[in-house]
Amino acid sequence: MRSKKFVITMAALANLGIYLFVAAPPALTDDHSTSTRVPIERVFEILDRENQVARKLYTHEIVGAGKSVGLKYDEHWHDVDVPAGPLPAQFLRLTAAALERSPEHIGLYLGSDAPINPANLFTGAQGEQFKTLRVSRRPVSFFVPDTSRYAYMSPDVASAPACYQCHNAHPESPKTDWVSNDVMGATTWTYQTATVSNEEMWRMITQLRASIATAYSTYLEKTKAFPMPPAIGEHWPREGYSIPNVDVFMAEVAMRASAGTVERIAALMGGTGPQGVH
Amino acid sequence: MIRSTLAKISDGPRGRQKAGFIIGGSIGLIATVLLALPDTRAWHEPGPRNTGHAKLACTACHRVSQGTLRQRVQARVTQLLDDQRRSMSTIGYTPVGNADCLACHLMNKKDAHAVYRFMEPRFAAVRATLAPQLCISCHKEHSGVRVTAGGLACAECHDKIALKKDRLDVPHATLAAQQRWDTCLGCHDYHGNHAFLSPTRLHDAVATGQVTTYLRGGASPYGEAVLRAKSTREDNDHEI
Repeated sequence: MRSKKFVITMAALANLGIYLFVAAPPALTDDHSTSTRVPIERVFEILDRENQVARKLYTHEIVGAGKSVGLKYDEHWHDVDVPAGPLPAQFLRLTAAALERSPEHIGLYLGSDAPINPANLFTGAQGEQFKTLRVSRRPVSFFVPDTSRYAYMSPDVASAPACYQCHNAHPESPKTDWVSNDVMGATTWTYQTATVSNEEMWRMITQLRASIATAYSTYLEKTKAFPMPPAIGEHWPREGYSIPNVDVFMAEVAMRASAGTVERIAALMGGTGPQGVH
Repeated sequence: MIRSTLAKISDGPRGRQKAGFIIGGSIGLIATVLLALPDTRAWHEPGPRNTGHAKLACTACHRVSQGTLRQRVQARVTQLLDDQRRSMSTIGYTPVGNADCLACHLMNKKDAHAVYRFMEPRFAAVRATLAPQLCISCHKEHSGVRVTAGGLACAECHDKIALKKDRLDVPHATLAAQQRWDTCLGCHDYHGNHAFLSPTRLHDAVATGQVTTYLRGGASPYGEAVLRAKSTREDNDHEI
């Protein structure tokens, strides 16, 4: 009797094996299972550089040049009665919000140990990592146990005088002696896996660019409600009271960022890493 | 007729057992059919829908897992046997998460409390206590209200608030020191989804009772909504 049950059990298991694996339909796709994997730190480097290029472009060519022709940028830009665009830090936040809505859920945050808004103060692991980063001025990577996410922090260096002068003059700023080249804070990136497939990496880069475009489109929409809206088209603020449309803006981002991104990816594919790529 | 049929079946060895199987099976079949009918949806819902969700189809939030049943079983077994497969696979429906909420509820660009922001590493402490990174921590569905969080613990993040140039007649630092956290939502629309301007006098703040009524599903004391949820997730598919 016992051997009969054993035979039936084994036959049932064999049938199940055939049902699930031998005569099975195509397996469900698993985006994470391709063989070639790229360390997430390398991907963060690429994303961070792309983001820095876009932010620098927005800071200098839109905010900086825009102010000189009469365009306004204000921390309360989102209020209906404030005819202004977002500040560079807020432009990053708009990009971050669009990124988070993308399927890959890439985390992007900006903070400091001396933020204007105390709610943006680095604490915990981020606070500890920032101390290291401030001294070394180099990115740091770490794992966040409770969210099971991999994090990467890169220094946010005071480059444009408008940035640190505004922070120095802000009534809520806890630090008013920022100077050029200071590490004013850090950009933090997070992602759910330690490595990604090549396809995922490309999707992440594409999604970052789409999110930058979304952030810029949000600014364009706001300008349409200004009492004197700037012309939106081919021209930049340095050429007059006009701002580029999203295609022109993103073409400039691509022109400035693509070479570096391609070189980094080529280095990754060759297995040599991004060293020497600037 | 049923009685005579059952009497026939009940005859003989193990007859009563057979009859029991038939009766039990029939009851189970009828219950399954009844519960599957659209009009009996409320019978098996864990509770009444939250504010604004009454007309939604179940599948608006409970999405059927991808692939055929056989593919799902195959993927689950592969997951058990081979850790390399990391894409989650579920047999019936996918777990409801932030993405399902945000499919209709667009994130407000001026939302200072957007859920994704709480995924930042520095919020580990508040994630352990309030879990504000999850929509359902405050909006547990099938509760029949708008907000289910017992008390919005503003103190978790804002206990040291002190503004150098305070617009409010009673300084924020004073309110924090007096632990008057019930006053926060009188001036601040948590997600900023309404055309509401924060008053500069505490006296003009929305009364606590009005806020409580709103959280329980009543009318908004913050004025007109500037951002409304989409009727279906498909309305929102073109937006990232």
